[in-house]
Amino acid sequence: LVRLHDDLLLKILSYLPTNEVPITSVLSKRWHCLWMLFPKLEYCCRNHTNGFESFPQFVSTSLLLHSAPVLESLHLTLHDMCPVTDIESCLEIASKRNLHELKMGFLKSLLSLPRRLCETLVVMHLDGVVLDVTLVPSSFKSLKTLHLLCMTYKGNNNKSFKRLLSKCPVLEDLLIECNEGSQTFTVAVPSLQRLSIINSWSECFRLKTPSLKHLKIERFVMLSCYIENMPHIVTADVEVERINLRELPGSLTSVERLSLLLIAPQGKVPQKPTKMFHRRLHLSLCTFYRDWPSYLKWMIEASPKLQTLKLHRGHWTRPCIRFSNENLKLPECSLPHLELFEWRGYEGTPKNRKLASYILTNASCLERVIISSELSYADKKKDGILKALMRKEFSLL
Amino acid sequence: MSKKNIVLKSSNGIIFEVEEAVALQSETIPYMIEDDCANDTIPLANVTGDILALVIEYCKKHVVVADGDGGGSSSSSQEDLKNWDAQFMNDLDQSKIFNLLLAADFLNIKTLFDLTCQFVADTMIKGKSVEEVRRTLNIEKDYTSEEEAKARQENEWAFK
Repeated sequence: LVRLHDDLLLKILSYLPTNEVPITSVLSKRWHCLWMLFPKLEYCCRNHTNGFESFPQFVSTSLLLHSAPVLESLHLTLHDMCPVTDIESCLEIASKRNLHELKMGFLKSLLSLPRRLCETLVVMHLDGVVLDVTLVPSSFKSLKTLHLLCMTYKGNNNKSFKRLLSKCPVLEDLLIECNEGSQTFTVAVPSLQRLSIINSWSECFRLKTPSLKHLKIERFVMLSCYIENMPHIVTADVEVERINLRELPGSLTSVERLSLLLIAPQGKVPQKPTKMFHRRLHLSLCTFYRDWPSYLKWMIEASPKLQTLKLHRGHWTRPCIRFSNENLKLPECSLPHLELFEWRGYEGTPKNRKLASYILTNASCLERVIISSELSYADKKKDGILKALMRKEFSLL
Repeated sequence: MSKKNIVLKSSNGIIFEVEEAVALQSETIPYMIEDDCANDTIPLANVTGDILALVIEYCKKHVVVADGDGGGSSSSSQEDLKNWDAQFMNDLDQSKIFNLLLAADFLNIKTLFDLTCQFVADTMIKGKSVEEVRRTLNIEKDYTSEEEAKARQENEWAFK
């Protein structure tokens, strides 16, 4: 170990969880010097024994002792009782070390950020912080990754959020979780490549992100959405409640992997697709809502290059909602590119069988089929139907 | 692609002949090939024969998988490789591990460097008390009791 030079030991330290690194400073004088140069720091007020009020001052002192010329990351877990001015001076100190990554959580008082910090940050992760965007002194000109969890903004939430995004000219990765509900939720960032929105509510969702490659929407209640064309989109993982069916996939027609989980969608499925998915498509569709076969029909007709089709029951364990009473309409096209068909949660009802045999007969280059009932209760009759179907399927292939 | 062999020579004069694809997992070797007379033996002054043998064993294992599936290796082979890596590291004693780390750093083989660093961090430092780490890594305590108390106090927030 003595033969390993300091740079190498510092690298080894970076493979430890950040909160375990400070302990190594007690090992020996050499390790203490190493720790002083270690560029990632994590402070949690709950481990501070002298009370929350003195915590930020303690962090400041510790930061001043530290001699790493560039701070790669600083994680601060705070508490409401930490004085804001003291936190701001911590950030001031960190900003002089060209901080790249700031992770900060749990502060209900209003906070402003030092100018220099805004300019050097590449990653910012805020959790449960109250921010006054009008106090952000300059643009986040290097910021590539922004994660906002349970945020509150001073003044109008929606306007502040828009204003914050407008200050991030090179942003590539944005995650928003538990955003407070607002009538209109707009994300307009020309450079954005990855967007995740989790647990939000809004009447109207607007997306202006022409460079987006990956979209993930989870547990989002929205009534209408306007998505501008995204020619580079590769994956879209969409779980929405109450969306109007006419609106959603139409703007995602360049996608290669689409996963749709719709809960209580509004309106009727359009008769004929107006826009086509023009690339090879891997589709995963949740069979939870009542009218899903019509939706599947619509999707099949809209995707002439459908390559994989997966039907599943989402995260619900109770039995599927049955098909609606309307007649099952099958797509009027064949599936010339379908290679993989997977149906989990198959129930063996006549309509299920009809749909499965339509797919098995019309997919001319099918390579793999997986059909499983995954019923939590044993049902021999259904099992028999399933086996009969399997036999038919094997004779086809 | 024609299979070309490269000859490596360890610091204690042991010769290894390996396929080019195996050797080129090192980002240092291509520079040495360019700088040196191309077809000759490449001398590795910092790496002894027993360690070089380990490096080559690792690179051979990893080149097969990278080739295996037209670039995109399947998840099961990834899993196998992970198990192989774990076993490979577990069979080494501490001095070999540090020498391997130095070799991976010198030869600039990123995955091997990551593997050894992660192994050292996980098995010799992580979750251990100060005394345990000192014992494992054979670190001499050069603090007086007061100095040690001060160092502890500086970082009291890290001790749970």
